[in-house]
Amino acid sequence: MKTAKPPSSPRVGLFVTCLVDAMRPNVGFASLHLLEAAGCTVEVPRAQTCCGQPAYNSGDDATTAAIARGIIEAFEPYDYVVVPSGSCGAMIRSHFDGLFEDGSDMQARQRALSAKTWEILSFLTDVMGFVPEGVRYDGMATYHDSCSGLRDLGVHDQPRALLDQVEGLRLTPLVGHDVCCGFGGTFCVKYPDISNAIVSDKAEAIADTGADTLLAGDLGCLMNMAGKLRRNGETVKAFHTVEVLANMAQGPGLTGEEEA
Amino acid sequence: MTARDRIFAAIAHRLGPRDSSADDIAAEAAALVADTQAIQPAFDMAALTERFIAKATSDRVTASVERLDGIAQVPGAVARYAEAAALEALAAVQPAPAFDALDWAGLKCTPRANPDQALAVTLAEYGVAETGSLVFRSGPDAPALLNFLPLHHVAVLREDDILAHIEDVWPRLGGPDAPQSRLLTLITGTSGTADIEAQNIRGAHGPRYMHILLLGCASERGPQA
Amino acid sequence: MIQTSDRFRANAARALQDDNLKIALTRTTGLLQRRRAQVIDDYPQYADARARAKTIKDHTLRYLDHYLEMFERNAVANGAVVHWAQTPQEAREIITRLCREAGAQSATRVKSMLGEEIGIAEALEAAEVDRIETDLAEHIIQLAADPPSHVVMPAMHKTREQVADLFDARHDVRPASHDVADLVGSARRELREKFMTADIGISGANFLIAETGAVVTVTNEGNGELTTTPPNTHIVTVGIEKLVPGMDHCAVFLRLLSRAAIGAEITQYTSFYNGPRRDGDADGPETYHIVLVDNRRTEMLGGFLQPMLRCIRCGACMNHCPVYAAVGGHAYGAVYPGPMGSVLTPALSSLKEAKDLPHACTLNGRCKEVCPVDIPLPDMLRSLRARQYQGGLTPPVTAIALKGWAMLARRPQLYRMAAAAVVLAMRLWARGRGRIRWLPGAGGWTRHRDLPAPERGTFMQQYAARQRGRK
Repeated sequence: MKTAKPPSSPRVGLFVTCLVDAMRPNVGFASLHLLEAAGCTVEVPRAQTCCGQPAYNSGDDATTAAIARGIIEAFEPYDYVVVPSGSCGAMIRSHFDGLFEDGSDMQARQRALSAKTWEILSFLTDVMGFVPEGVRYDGMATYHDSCSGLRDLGVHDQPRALLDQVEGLRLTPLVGHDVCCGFGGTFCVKYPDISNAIVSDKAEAIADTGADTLLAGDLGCLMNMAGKLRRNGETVKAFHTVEVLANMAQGPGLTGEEEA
Repeated sequence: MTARDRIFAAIAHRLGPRDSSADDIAAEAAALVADTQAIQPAFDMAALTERFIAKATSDRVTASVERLDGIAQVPGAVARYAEAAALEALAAVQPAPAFDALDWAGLKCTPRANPDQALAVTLAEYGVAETGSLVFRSGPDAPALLNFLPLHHVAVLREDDILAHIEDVWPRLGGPDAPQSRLLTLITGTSGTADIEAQNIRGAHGPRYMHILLLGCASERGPQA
Repeated sequence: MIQTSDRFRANAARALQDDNLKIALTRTTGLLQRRRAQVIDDYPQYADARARAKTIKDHTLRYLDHYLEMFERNAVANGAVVHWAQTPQEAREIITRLCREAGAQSATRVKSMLGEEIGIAEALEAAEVDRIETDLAEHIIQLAADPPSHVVMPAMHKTREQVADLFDARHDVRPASHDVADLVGSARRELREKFMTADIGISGANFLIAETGAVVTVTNEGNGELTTTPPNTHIVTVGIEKLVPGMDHCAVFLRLLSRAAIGAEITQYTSFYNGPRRDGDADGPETYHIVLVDNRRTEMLGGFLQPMLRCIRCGACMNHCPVYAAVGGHAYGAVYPGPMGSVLTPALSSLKEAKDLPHACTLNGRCKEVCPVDIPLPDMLRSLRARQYQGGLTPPVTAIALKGWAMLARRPQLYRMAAAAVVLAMRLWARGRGRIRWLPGAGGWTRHRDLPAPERGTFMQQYAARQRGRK
């Protein structure tokens, strides 16, 4: 779903997500780098914490609305809100709908914000028409399509198109690339053993590809899959797609053994 | 209040007044299926027989098809089938007038099937090219059980009775106000089950083998697909 | 069936230890997924048919009373006796009475999920009628005294080896071998006579045609027609939401149901039952009863649960659900398992009794994608969670943790400090390693997986430092 002509120098508010903030800031910096390379002016509003999924998925609509309100206030000045996560992107873009009263001013503001919120990989291709240049990653990678990004936002072709531009990188298909990894946010906290059963199958499928690298667009999924692979003694390196695209995928990746 | 009353009251309570007349509702319903073509599998409408045979003999349907010139050849074909399948020359034959008129010498015939019936012969009213299905209705000269009890089911179908799509069957039943037979069944191939580890096995409770005798001008058509 | 949905956690834990179950589930769900994908690939009109099916169901539900009246009128004109039951108990009472009136000693049965809902087994027991299940899967679970674990393949939880042992022990004549074909052959032989001698045949319905009064079944074994033709009495039990307006409407669903359920264009036997034996008919039952059952369906009308009434019981959702694939159907502890069961069970019983089910879901959305009538299952599960939260059904520990987290999440400055502190603590805990193998408070995760060790500070900390550095 491409827009007509890439806008010139749009102002982007980067919503880094709570997981990136705490567990892998490198993804945030890679996102910054890519957005600037694509010609955006990027700011990171301080008044951001979390997209509200933990509350939303637990049925606490009141807290979700309060968090949404904060996000709307902090980000509505920007032309676009860009998120390095399919699930957080979908939360803001699709699931904020219904939080505010029909016909209210807040609802109008929410709809405006949701409409300009984008998951980063689809933003780079579909809005900015960005083509990475001078990017290199030597290895064979396999790609996992995170459920929210795939089904809520239609993110599938875009990461592959972007990775196609990376020198030295070969992609090998993952059997069940569109099958849930078992993270599910609150699900893996509530049902860790079922989550483990699901991610065990996923880890097996990843190992079966023979790839040395695992890529995905969602940190929650990556943490889940990488954590399982590592526990199984696999040496597959796991990165967020933006890290590779920004030439910032040096080192052992998520849960890698060298000094982080 | 009877249960019926309570159910209708509950529906009215939950949905509120819907101020549509019966005609309005009927029109709305009709509009939903006005363009049946949009959802029907498309195939060459000039090649219904070919489609029917291809579907019937596919490995999802697993029937065999034999083309005959006319109904007079049916008893001979049945006898040959029984011999090839190493069955006794004995069949439960549907007491249809079209069958009664035939010469069944060489085959011992009964009008009823017993639970261990090896072979039965019935007459299909229509075939459906879309799916390779056969259409049967129960009636005085059509015991439903003949289609379900035997191990080997020989079904006779006239080529001219092959319809294109499932929906084409309904207008031939006389319309909603015409008296309906007790049972109308679209039978598509041999009985099967996937209840054990999703493995497709043929011959559950119904027939394991279906042999379709297709009556038409065999000489006018080219070789089967 | 005794519902144990409130013990989902324990049920699931047990299921995860069951190696046989894992084998059975792996063997079946993969096959069913592939077959469905193939047959839908071959049906380019699928998306249109799916959209049309959804509209037909929504239309029919909107005028459900109109169509119920129409159906009853036409069914009675065809010679059916139509009964109404609002509750499972009322339905059982009707069936018990009909059995007694018929002086029945045995009844053959074709699978009906609605029959499970209302507890037909109890009704037959009360009438002292021998119940003979005839679908292969139902026959298996009758012998094993198991409840069904899947809407289309109720014995999916059994491996072929388990079925073989069962038949060896319980059939009058042992199977010729343990090949699946011989197991099927053994069941065929075992049930043959019973079809012919039953006093009553009980079946369900996939669809009800309002315009003609027909009851439609979509089956593949042949036991449906063998159950409902020989006995003197035929009883149909069916939920009121199975209505469609007319035959052309039904055709839309016929194409979708077999494709979604088993990856076939059509099943072997698509039967339309129009009434009892007609004058002069060569076979067929003398009397024919249709029991229309509500059982909380009317309560789902006009609310956020209404889309659930579109369900045509194809099982595609559970075939594609990673949670179902991990724990199987019995873990859900109810008649209906998997994604559709997780929505329907709270609706048919209560949110309290089924409290774990709305959470037994990663919200991945595959179920909604494969549903042939586009039921928004994940959205409905989430809405059920919201109702639980508002209704005080959230466990206290969870509610407190959520409130604590919410307090921070709504206060960015406080949040940043807390996040920085947690990251520092985890980093110290990791002691220079790139991963954490065990973390107090995260035992559920670290039992099975490693955690990444954080970087030197949160993103917000590092970003702020960079910004300061630039000035």
